[in-house]
Amino acid sequence: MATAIKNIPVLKKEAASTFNEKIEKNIANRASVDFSKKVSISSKILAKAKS
Amino acid sequence: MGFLLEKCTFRPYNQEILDSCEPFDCGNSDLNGFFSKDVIKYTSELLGKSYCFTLDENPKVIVCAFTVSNDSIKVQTLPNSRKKKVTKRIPREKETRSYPSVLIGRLGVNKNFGRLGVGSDLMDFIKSWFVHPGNKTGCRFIVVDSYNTPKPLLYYTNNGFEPLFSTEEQEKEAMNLPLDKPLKTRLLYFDLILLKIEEQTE
Ligand SMILES: CC(C)(COP(=O)(O)OP(=O)(O)OC[C@H]1O[C@@H](n2cnc3c(N)ncnc32)[C@H](O)[C@@H]1OP(=O)(O)O)[C@@H](O)C(=O)NCCC(=O)NCCS
Repeated sequence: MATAIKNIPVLKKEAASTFNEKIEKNIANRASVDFSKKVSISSKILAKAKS
Repeated sequence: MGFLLEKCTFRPYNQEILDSCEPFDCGNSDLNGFFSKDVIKYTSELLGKSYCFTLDENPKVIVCAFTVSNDSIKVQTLPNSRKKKVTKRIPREKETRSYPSVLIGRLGVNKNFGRLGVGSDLMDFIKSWFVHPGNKTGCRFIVVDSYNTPKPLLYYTNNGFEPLFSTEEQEKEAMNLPLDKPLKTRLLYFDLILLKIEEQTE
């Protein structure tokens, strides 16, 4: 059996505050990386996909 | 992502793949074992869904494969000070905020296609898939439990992932792992809010 995947523990104290700070910054930088082209390629990949 | 679009086909990693393809080899025995033995059971128990890209010129070749499951990042915070005043006499209760996430449980690139950008293209595909307008549920983060070795860690950080815990000690404490033992894997996340897609109105 392959190695078990870790459960994601609840972030507390310092880990929680660091994470919150980072994601606040990300909210301020929301949609700053243009992924439109990649999403459109993904749509083509999905259209060609076999189920 | 041109190679995955033009030269490969995206498919669920199912019994048909196991029966018709050459064994998948990404150079990691643990992952190879999963994709040759455990994958079907994992899918049937609804623990995760596995997918792969096969090579169009020889569909027996699996170029890359991955497994995804629903998960969440939970963050415990103390109520803010304004709220504290209102609820002065009530013992301060910790609040837990939960963010919907997708967990990449397994991911590997066929070693014959290594270092050609396939892994990064695959990651762009996974990110696009979860911000795609066709995605049925909301998803804020992609989380991965990476082997704690330079190659996969560099792969994830070069693809925009950040460690969920700033230090290994912090991660061991959170996981209740002995501090004197090496940490085999590290949790990393990518924030999908950073991505802009045309359909977004804001
Ligand atoms: C890690 C893995 C997915 C990378 O796939 P890949 O197709 O070779 O990756 P790419 O060509 O897109 O490279 C992306 C980045 O990964 C890192 N990387 C890939 N191979 C590396 C190597 N041999 N040494 C150091 N860094 C490496 C680099 O940062 C690279 O960016 P760069 O080329 O700009 O320097 C692949 O090697 C693999 O399947 N390894 C075994 C399984 C595994 O470790 N899976 C991930 C952990 S769950």
